[in-house]
Amino acid sequence: MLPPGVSSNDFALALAAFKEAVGEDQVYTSDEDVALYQDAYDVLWGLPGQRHVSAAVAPATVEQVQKVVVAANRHRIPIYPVSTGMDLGYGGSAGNLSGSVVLDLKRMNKVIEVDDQRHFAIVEPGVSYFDLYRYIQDRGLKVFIDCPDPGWGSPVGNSLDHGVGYTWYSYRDHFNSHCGMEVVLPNGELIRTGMGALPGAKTWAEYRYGVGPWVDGLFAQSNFGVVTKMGFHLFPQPEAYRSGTVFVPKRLDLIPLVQQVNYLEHSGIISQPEYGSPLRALVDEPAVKAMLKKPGGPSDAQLDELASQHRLSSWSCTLQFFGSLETTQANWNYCQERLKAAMPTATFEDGVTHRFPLGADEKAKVPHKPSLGIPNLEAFRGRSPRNPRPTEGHVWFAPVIPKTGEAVMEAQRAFGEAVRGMGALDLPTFFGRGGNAYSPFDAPATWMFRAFVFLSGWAASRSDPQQNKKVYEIVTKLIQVAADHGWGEYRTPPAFQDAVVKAYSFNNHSLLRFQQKLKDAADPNGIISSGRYGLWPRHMREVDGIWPANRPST
Amino acid sequence: MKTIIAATFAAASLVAQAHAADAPLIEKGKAAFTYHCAACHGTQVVSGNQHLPGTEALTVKYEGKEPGALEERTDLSPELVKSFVRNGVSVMPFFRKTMVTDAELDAIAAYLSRNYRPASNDSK
Repeated sequence: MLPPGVSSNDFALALAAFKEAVGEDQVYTSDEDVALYQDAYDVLWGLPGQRHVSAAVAPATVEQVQKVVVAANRHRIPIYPVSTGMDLGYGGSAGNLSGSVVLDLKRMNKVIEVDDQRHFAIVEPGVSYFDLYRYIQDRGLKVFIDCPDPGWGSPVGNSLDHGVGYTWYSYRDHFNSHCGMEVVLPNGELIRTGMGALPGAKTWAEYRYGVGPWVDGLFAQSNFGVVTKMGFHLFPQPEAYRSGTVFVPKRLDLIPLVQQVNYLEHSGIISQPEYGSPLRALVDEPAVKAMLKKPGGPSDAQLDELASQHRLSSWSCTLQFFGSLETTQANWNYCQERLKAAMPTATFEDGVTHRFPLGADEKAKVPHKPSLGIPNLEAFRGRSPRNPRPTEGHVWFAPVIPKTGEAVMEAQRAFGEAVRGMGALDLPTFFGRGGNAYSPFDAPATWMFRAFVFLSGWAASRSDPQQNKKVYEIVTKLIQVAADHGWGEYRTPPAFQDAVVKAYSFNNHSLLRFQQKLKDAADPNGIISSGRYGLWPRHMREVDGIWPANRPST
Repeated sequence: MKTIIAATFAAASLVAQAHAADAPLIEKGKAAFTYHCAACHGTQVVSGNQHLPGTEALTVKYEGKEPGALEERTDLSPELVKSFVRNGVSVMPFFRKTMVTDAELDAIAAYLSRNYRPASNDSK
């Protein structure tokens, strides 16, 4: 296939220039090779709107990236940079615009530096979390990484998509923990941000702002350049980890529980809290299923009765601590005292302790390894006794809601009602059947320091377009429900990016229009990542001066 | 009877020779498998909470008729291994050539098919 609006002659000239830049064997044009760049978890697979790729080019150096970008600009070829290209559930390696050439940075896989005295790393985009972890472990360096659940992603790519992790608050927000970038601009020019703009800078990965306007945010979830290096602050390896869990009996106890845990987290006493409901274990019982299917769902009193009958708590929250064995014990003691004073019916259970470094056997026993900065792929749910009908992929719906118990329960009601209303009770999701999505037992994700994400993951299929169609309709509906409640998504697959951005419409999309002006100045030919997060090149803004015509979500 | 025994030894000898010739490739394949595949398809640890989604899925699928760990299988041809890596299956995606190069895939296929017995069924 050809990139849209590009003649076969121009495409051939561009491919020749790409080959000259990176070598013939790193330009992929055969159907067989190009098919590998499809998004394996594309929710529009088999439907109009499925994203296809025209070719791929894989540079190994910054100079090669510059040559490719210059050639793409000369021939007006849309290019879509990916780091490891494994952002499955949020888009994979295929761009928003079908026919784009993927700029595959996987071969740029050097760990430039890791410093375990000043606690930072500088890496190229093709370095995965596994790679960085191995580099640190092989050298016995005394630093943690903060990784998302799948370890095959890239620190660069994940942070540029605003990805998140599980350790101490200042490292969990991966973009927030980055410090310094090197970027190839759409005209091929190379810049370094922050202190990196100073030749011979000694603190590129330590002080992020340099002087003057800070532009790093322009390169995240966007299309202003190709990031070829990034610095990251790293968590010094702590002496010890400890966990403990608080349980509260009643449904409405969630409100004071979140208030109290917010205080502990925002004061720096605990690391990431993990909420849950012990009642979730009952979700497949026929009587409970019937209760959940009822219009309006169960009342708070009915849920309290259910908890009482089964002698279960309504909510739990696991608190995590890093420090020494002594300080973590002291903090856990303090948390119990404070929580008990605020919620006299709360009960407590000691969790686990670890001393670092962990041996191989001890690592294997850690139930959720990213909480200790250990990358893995354990989050993937293939066939198992609990999951006899595995999905072929998933797409995430990830609305940001306030960090309160009231907001959690409001979101459960609003999203749950939408899911029931859409007849989605039996659709497969990442966490079970659709009927379980946004049940009264669902807890929010706590990656963000100041907000909750109320995540659901819906099946994507490479063999069932009708199921994809239904999932597409459901997620589109959920985006609208969220917007109606003042909630927006923090991240979304390309199939939904226009719809999500459309909801961020304050003052007639004035933020998006400002971003368009910057885009037009920086990338007048609109060659980089066309349409990423609603930012389309000028020549494609056919509807309302913002959207292309004939897009599935506009 | 003597003929059968002689033929069996001859076949075993041929397999051994083929494996000896492929030994460096198989060794490379083992390293590439560990790097690219083991996080999902490794051998399950005896205790603890380690969850290897690929190994678990295949253990459940075959209900004891075949091992869940790919390294223990004897029914995987090189072609079959390559097909799964480049086409994906179930929740496992397909892998680009910059992720798993053709050379690495040849080595992984050689490693996983080192005990291949063609009479076995070609299924994952």
